[in-house]
Amino acid sequence: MSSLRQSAVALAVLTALGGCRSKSPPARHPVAELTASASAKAEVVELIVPDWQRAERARQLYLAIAALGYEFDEQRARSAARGRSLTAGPAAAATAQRLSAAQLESLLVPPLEASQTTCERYVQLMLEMRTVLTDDELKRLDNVH
Amino acid sequence: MLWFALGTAIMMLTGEFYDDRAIVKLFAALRETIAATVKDMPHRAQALHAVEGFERAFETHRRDLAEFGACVERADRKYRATQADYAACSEQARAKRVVLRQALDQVEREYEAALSPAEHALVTSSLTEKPQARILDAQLNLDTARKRATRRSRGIEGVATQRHITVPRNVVSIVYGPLAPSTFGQRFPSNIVDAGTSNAHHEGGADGTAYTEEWFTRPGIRFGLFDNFEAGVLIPIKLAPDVALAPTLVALTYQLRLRAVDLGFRFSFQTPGDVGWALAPGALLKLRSQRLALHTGVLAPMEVGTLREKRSPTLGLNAPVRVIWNLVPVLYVMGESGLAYDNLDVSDGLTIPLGFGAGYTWLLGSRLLEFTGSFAWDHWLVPGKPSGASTFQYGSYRVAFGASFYFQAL
Repeated sequence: MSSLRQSAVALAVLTALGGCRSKSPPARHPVAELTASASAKAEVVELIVPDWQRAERARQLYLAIAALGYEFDEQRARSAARGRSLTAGPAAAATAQRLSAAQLESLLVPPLEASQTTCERYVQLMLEMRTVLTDDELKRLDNVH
Repeated sequence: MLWFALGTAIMMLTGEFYDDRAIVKLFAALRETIAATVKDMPHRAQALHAVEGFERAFETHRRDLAEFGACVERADRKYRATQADYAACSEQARAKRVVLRQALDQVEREYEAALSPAEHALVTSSLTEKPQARILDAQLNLDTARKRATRRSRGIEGVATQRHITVPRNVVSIVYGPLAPSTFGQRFPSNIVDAGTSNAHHEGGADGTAYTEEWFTRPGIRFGLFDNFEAGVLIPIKLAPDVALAPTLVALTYQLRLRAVDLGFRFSFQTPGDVGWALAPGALLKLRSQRLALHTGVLAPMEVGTLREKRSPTLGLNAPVRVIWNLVPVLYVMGESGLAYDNLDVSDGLTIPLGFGAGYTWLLGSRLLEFTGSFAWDHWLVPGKPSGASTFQYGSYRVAFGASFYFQAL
């Protein structure tokens, strides 16, 4: 293979790989954003916090936040599955059964109590994070997405 | 009932980039279905109007969620934030949820009133047959949510000893320095490939006076195509004694992730050069811990000629071992050795290499820049050569240096 051909192949591969970068990532659901962001922070926290022990504790907290996001996702999925069971079957489809707005809403988001519990747990973890990290460390980690 | 299926499926979605497209397609499919199945014009118009209302409610809900997320982010950024800062966000969200309930109630009534039970059933059955309706499958969504929890993080990996063999999905690494995992063990019968700029000093002759100097620069890229699969390319350019483009290296790596162990399978090849195609399939193993990592593997490099220029294949065997130690999270040192047969046809072809290296990792926001350098005797110890006596070869060495840059593509 000639040098020219080799460089053309290499350039094509590099362009294809590099071209995958998007300028503006699409908006994500806050929970998905929170999970992705906490996971990303957990991966690099040790590069920001020089003390191994504090870094490990902060990493555990970020992983707990990420897990919270996954739990919330699963709660939403369960909520949806419950909703579908109410409307499953040909009879339900044919009769266009009417449900209350509250029931409909419960299908769109998990029960209020579950949302509140998730939120409270998140706040608790983030407040604990402040006892582990310094102001500067928290600011630097805030730039990690 | 269709309305619930739509609502539950849509709100279930995580909002990742592909979800929005799926929702747009689903709404388009619903409108098409209504247009095709509801023959009564006033009924059709009213049903389509209700769908628009639902789309608006969905958009508002997503906007409200984004505002809630932004509010929480503001509190997260404030070091002295208290419970009250977060509670303020929750209060807003709660108020908007009441509005959402009312909006949904209204559009649902409108939709129910628009269609007769028969039309309703017809729209539902027609839509659920379409591929766009796949996202309505509640069980599928539940399974997806469960799988998501076990998925590999797509963040950039920080501390060198804790990194996996492959980069995470959507992570790009511009490789222009030695010690990248994709070049680990890339020792072919005729050449040794590492990224970055390198100087190879080869000493020969009985008195050690005859020598050659070669300079190379090798930029490349690694990209996480899937959670555990990466593709990489390296473009070697020979700078001295003459300037020339050397064969391009392509490496495809798949890994199995266990708790602190990665098992990798790599297939790499070089585009045809003086010796034709060069291939290097192999298996890799990496043991990871907080401060120490062991990277090893067995590779079978070979040079096989080309279809036009046939030659008898040269087969080698390479078992590199690399130990990485993070002195502090941002600084690591590395030692490397192993066993290498560059040509299995040569009876005394065993070589033991020895190398050292170091890297400094610099986090720049969400991106990572890593400076690396290495020094290696690629033929440090040649057992049994010549005539039964082992020899150390300190005169031939390779020095490489450079930097690699990591970032998320999406």
